[in-house]
Amino acid sequence: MNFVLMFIEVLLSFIFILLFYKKYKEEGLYIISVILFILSIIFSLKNIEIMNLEIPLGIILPTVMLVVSNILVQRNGLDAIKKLTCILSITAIVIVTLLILSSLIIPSNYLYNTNIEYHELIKNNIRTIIATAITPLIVIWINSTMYYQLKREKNNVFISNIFTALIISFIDAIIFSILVFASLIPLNEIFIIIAIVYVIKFIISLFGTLIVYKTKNIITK
Amino acid sequence: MCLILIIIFITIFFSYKYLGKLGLKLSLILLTILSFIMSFKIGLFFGIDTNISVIPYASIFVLLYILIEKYSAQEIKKDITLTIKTSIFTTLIFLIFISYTQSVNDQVIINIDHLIKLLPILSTFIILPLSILLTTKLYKYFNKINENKYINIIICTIAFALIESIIQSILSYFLVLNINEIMNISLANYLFKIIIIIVSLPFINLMIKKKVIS
Repeated sequence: MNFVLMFIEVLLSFIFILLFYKKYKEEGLYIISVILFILSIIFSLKNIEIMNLEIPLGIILPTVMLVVSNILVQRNGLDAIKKLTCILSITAIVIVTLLILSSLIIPSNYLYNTNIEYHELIKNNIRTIIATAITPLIVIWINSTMYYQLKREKNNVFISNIFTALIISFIDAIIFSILVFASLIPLNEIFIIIAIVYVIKFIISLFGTLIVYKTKNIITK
Repeated sequence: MCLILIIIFITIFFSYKYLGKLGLKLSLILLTILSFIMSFKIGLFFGIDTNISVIPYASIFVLLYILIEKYSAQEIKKDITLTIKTSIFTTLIFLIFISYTQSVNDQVIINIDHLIKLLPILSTFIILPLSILLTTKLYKYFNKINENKYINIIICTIAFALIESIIQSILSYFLVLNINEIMNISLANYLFKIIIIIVSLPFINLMIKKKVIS
């Protein structure tokens, strides 16, 4: 069931990327990136089980964000990525601060347990929240630089996308897993999590290639 | 509460200063999603029980008044459509989020499905776009009658926020809280919305006069 939901989540995100891109052009890509980024931080609060290992849900939407960054590089080059990274950094600082502050607000006696759960949820997952906020910033930068070089060498959407997906998904999985799980679980489990996260991210990135190709056609038109 | 409000205003100010209209749009998106997230908690502000989403929610309207004063009707229409689209996307994504089966270990610590409920999400999804649409129309109507925009903002909030708060609270806490508790929360939300809007008037004034750094 969780895999079906993952598929729907990715599909829905891609549909909205195309929708925002068609309607708002470059601005739409920045906007959808910010939406995906904030939602990925919220998603990191929930863990799901894959092969008896707990994996935060926040791994899916940042991978979709990489697709958006590829579209931006394809369209506007590295300048757009500088702007995107800057916007996302500020968003990360604001959203993490506001989440922490909101959890510190004195809970009301109405629905007391729910209010306490809100506080506990953010307190217990602070490491995952920060990891989900930091990882995409690093990965988007590496991904875009690599994608841009490949684009200059050989302007082929499929080659650029698949090659970067192959490498970047791995780097992404390593950074994320180390930030979230280091010193919490045994090393061999971390390796298995890296492998699972890598496979999921790589598959999403492969689907994303079609979206980048589709948007390239829109640019050409 | 004050600290959250200050951070939101600083974010709006600097995002506009450096990104122009895109900055305002991004702030609008940020506040829209924050309204969804914060709607799950009821907090105590100055001893009054209030849904904490009132802070980003009221800030959306502060931003809306700034947008109306700075940009043409056609551009405002685009921004409202953008907020509606964001709300649709956020709601759909949250519905998927709720549907995921949480890991067993995680459920023992905190069952997130107890916290993130369908009703507050749906109420924000229904009320927010409607409120933005109606407030825009109401504010424009008042602007035709009265020239003082700050009085119009206050009248608009006083006139509209009560109905909005009551409907939103009923939708969010229907069958969860009793009617007295729902009314207490909605009146508190109404009160804080008015206070936030009044406190924000100097900020709105500052933003209307502010120029973008290119």
